[in-house]
Amino acid sequence: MTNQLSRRRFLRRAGVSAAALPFLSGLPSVSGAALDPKPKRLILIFSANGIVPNAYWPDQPGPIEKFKPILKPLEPIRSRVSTLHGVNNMVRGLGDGHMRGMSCLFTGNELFPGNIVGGGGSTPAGWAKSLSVDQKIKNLLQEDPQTRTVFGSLEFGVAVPNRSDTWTRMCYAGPNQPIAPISDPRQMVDKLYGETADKQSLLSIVDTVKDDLKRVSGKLSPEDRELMQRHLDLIAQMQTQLELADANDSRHHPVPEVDPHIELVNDNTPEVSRIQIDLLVNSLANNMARVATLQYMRSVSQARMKWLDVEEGHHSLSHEPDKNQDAQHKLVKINQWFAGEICYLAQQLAATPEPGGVGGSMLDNTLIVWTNELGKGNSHTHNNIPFVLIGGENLGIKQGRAIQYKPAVAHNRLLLSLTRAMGHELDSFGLKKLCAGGALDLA
Amino acid sequence: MKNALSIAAGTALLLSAWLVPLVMADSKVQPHGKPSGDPQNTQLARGAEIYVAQCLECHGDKGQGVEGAYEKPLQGDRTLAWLTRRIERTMPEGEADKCVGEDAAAVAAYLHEHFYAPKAHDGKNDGSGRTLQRLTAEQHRQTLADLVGSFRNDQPMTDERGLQQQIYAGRSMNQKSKPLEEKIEPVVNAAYNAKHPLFEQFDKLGHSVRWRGSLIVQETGEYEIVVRTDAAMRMWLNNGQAVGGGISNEISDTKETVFFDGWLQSSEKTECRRKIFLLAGRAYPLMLEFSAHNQGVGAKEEQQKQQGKKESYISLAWVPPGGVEHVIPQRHLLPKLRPEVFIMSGAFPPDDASMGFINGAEVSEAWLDAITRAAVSTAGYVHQHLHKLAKTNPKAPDFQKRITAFCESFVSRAFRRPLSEQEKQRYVHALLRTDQEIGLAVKRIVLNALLSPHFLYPQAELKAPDAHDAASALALSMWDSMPDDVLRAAAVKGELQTRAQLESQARRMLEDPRAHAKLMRFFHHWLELERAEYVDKDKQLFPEFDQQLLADLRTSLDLFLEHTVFSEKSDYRELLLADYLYVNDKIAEVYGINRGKAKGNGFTRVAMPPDRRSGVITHPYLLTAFAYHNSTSPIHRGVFLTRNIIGRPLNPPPNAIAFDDAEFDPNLTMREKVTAFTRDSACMACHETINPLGFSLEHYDSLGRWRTKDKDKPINAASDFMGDDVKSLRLKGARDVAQYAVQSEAAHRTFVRQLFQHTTQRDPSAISPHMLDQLTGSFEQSSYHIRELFVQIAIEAAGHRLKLDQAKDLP
Repeated sequence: MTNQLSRRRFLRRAGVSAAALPFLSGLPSVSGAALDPKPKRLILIFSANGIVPNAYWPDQPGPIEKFKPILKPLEPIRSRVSTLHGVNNMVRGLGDGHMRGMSCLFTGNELFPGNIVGGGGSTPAGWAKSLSVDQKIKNLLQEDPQTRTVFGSLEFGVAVPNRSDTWTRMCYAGPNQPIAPISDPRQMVDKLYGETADKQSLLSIVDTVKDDLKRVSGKLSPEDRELMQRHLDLIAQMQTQLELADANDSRHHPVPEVDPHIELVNDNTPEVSRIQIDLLVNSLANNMARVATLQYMRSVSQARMKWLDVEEGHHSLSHEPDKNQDAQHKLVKINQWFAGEICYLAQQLAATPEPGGVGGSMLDNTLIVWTNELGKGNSHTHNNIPFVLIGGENLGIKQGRAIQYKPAVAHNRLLLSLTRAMGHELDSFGLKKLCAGGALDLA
Repeated sequence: MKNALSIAAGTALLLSAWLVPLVMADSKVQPHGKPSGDPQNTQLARGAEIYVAQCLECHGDKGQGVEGAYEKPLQGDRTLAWLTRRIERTMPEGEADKCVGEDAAAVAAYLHEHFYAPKAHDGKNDGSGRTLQRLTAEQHRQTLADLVGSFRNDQPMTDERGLQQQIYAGRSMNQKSKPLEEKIEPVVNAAYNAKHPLFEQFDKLGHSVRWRGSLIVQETGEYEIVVRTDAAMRMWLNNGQAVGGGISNEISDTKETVFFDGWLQSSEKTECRRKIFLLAGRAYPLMLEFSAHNQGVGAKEEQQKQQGKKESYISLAWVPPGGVEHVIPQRHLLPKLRPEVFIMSGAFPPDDASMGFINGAEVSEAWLDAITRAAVSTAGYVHQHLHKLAKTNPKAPDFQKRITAFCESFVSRAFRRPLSEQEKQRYVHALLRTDQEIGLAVKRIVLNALLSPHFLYPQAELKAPDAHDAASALALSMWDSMPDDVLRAAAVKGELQTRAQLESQARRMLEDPRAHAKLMRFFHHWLELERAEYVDKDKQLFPEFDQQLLADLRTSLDLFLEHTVFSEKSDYRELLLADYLYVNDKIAEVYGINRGKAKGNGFTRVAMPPDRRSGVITHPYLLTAFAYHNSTSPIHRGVFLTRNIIGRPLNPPPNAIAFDDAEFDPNLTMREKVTAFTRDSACMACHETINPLGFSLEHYDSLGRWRTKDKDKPINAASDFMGDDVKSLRLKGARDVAQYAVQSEAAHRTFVRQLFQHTTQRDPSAISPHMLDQLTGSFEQSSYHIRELFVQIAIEAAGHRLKLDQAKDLP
């Protein structure tokens, strides 16, 4: 596959071991809590501009026998996929459809008044009024030593444009506190493994430093030599700690090495996407977080997916009427590409044994949710937001089903189902009035 | 309310004290007998006898001290007369009448000759033989900033102050649109309402403003930056990407590069605050953008008829270390963008200050931890900015060569000298070759260099001294940092061989803000300003007091210090005798000062009656700091004057007894209480000096306001005081104390010594036994010129190992 080949240019797997203990007092350990035999993980994935409903939703509720074109790439894992039809984003208030679609998606709450004016004569708005469900779950997990990890949550981005507004942020740490996803794999590697790499660099030069100290010491007066000796003793002590840490830890999953020169340009998106997915799987396997988000572009994305032979911007295409066959065809292709990336992620998780040694794969314990800010691009509807659930059977999710809610339900209730799956029952999340009926039963 | 001073009080209350050692024991000095006959030798022989009989038991045979008795060596620089009188009055302990008159004179002469006076040490350093010092925390940070900064293009700072301001109509601030107005604005604190001259032009489209320039600070520490606005705002601070020519589109997608991102106004949030650690004596690039226009796709101007904001405001304020929030004053703003500064903000353990000045004579685990983190974070920063610092990119044909050259320069600058071929091999090439990924290799090279003793111990005497050592010493003394390009070039060209050459460099360096910051740091240390940071006062007694007043007083003192130290005369005497204060409205109100026309104009200099104010010793900030929350503290004030101004060392008390106001008859004045409290003869050994000095300030209440009564009794600020010449004199008040200090050689010596210690991290005796005499002499000859003294100290520190060729300096 072309992707596989070109990706090799960017991603090398180096057998770098990692030091688990702090090299000096006070540094947080990279590997976090001891391995949990029954971990629960959640990955939320976003892609933009709605879908093409008739090329997406299964015709009937019940077991899925066959996918429509957009979900076709998920065929290899069909029995582990469910679609949820009839889940509406019912949050109203300030801001245009894309803004609310994006910033209310995981917060289930309204936007503050603000100075950002959207399309269609909508009212100006600001940031979301409360935190997003991924952050809520992260906070709950971090409170408990059993489920605490170094980072708690990780926010990955792919080709998220360089701006910060209501259209580009879906994760919130609290009211008015948007979280920027990290779209540069180098930055992510640095966040995840920078300290480990630093310790190894340090270990590699410590002998030279000791040698220097000895040489200098020889030229000093006996009294000054005392100070140098003390310095040398401290260095030796540090070296012992570093070596011990290095020997004690051989990580379950080696640290991926990312090409330092990869350019973050539109045309490299497929490569960047795979690197980010690899890093995501790797960081979860190394128990660095239990919650992750993966944001492709942003709402109103104008990505030009030339690698699919689509030259037009995504958002412009999504505004084309249904009768524009060419546009519909391209929108299907675009969404198929996302489905392919998500399938790759799911398969990577399915191929990775659960690190706790309790059997099964990581996908058994990891629920993937793929969604969108709109139900359909050209109508900007918030009805039938496309929610696809994958894996996570050990979290109490019954997969392989097309679920249809009639009458439609508020998506806040689905957010409650996610917190339940992650082990925490909540009465409400986001707008209380949209939580009536409680969590949706996904078992 | 807890008075922080009461904790400090314990150490200040001396119940027993003796000669404080200024330097450590030198066991190598042998007392040597002289032939008898002449009267002086007779006296010395008599002194030796008495010493053996009455003193040796506690002080050791060479005055080195005795464990379990008096442990400190008998060394110092007080006069023989002073020593005699002290022995007469207090020694031997508990039997002060046993050694008086000629006996006291004899024993004083003996110990003065043989081990007390500096000349007795005959050129030995501090006696311990230890000279090695590592970088102090401040030096470490400053050096790292300059090491990285030396690879950026830099231009000297200009004197212009304020920020460059551009005002635009509408929301467009791109390069195509023309500003309505462009000028240098002193501060950012603007209301765009009907009173604004451009108001009508804002129309319904709103308006946008951009400020560019740099933020300059004089104190190292944590600053909280505060922007208040009801409109869209974003700000960059100390970020190269933002200032590289660029506006927002140059910012990478990490939010970290933007200091404040308030472009999206949400929920009527009108305040952004964030802390940043800044190093003294440097300027940090700053850009602030503001738009009172709606943003977003629907905000195109033709649709915007009703959505522009006509009225709006913005202010750029800060909370400096130990201060309160206020608009960033003009003197801290430059209208030019300066290069980004590498700031190592990680914590360092406090440096040793047990000898009264900060020094780098100790290493510890916490220190190694801190410097390792500093090295790691510097290596990370260099790696991240490698292409800009090395001025190349991976596509350049000579990329590898350039990186190698960069690494060689980096290590050479870190070691403050050129590298031999062997050293290049060892510190650069060997590490470059073993790794395939060049960025990682560079990181290792940086780590290795920054953990090397050649970087950490800049004054280690490993070889015959040369011009590079002199350059390094100059930079440490004047900037707490490393040599800059000019100094390095001078060293390479051999232009640091003579006193005149060192002097010309030192004078050039004096103009740099880093020298300014270092001098200001000295005055803060000298005046013990750190004790003022947690001061609070009894709200019932002093309802006027608040943190704003305290911050204003500090500004007032800083303005005075800056004015005095950086004026042409730079006169030490002015520090003590000035009869004016820098006053703003708040201070004027609390202190009852008539500002006349100056009202409302920030700080202005106001003349005071000479008998009411006399320089720093009566500055209300100091008087407030050296006082209890509900009353004055003559003891704190007196100890400060004794040690730091008059120049008499005091020992910490072996048994600390805290002064407790509640134990005294409430009708007594503070003077009466202190007199009763220190009546004991053991106390009076020190308090005979402390009390008269402390009482001289009794006219100033706990806030430093002039008062005429205490407990309805008239203030008595007068006392008899024993001068250095052992003659009694009458001190009537603060001005008499200042006058005394200005004429006292001991006071001058103390000032010189303290500045020397602050500048070089060592005692003058570590360089030569005559250093203090020599510098005190030249200080007096220069009409007590402070900056001149600073320069002379730096030259001595740099030149003493060089054997400067004085002959070349003769005209």
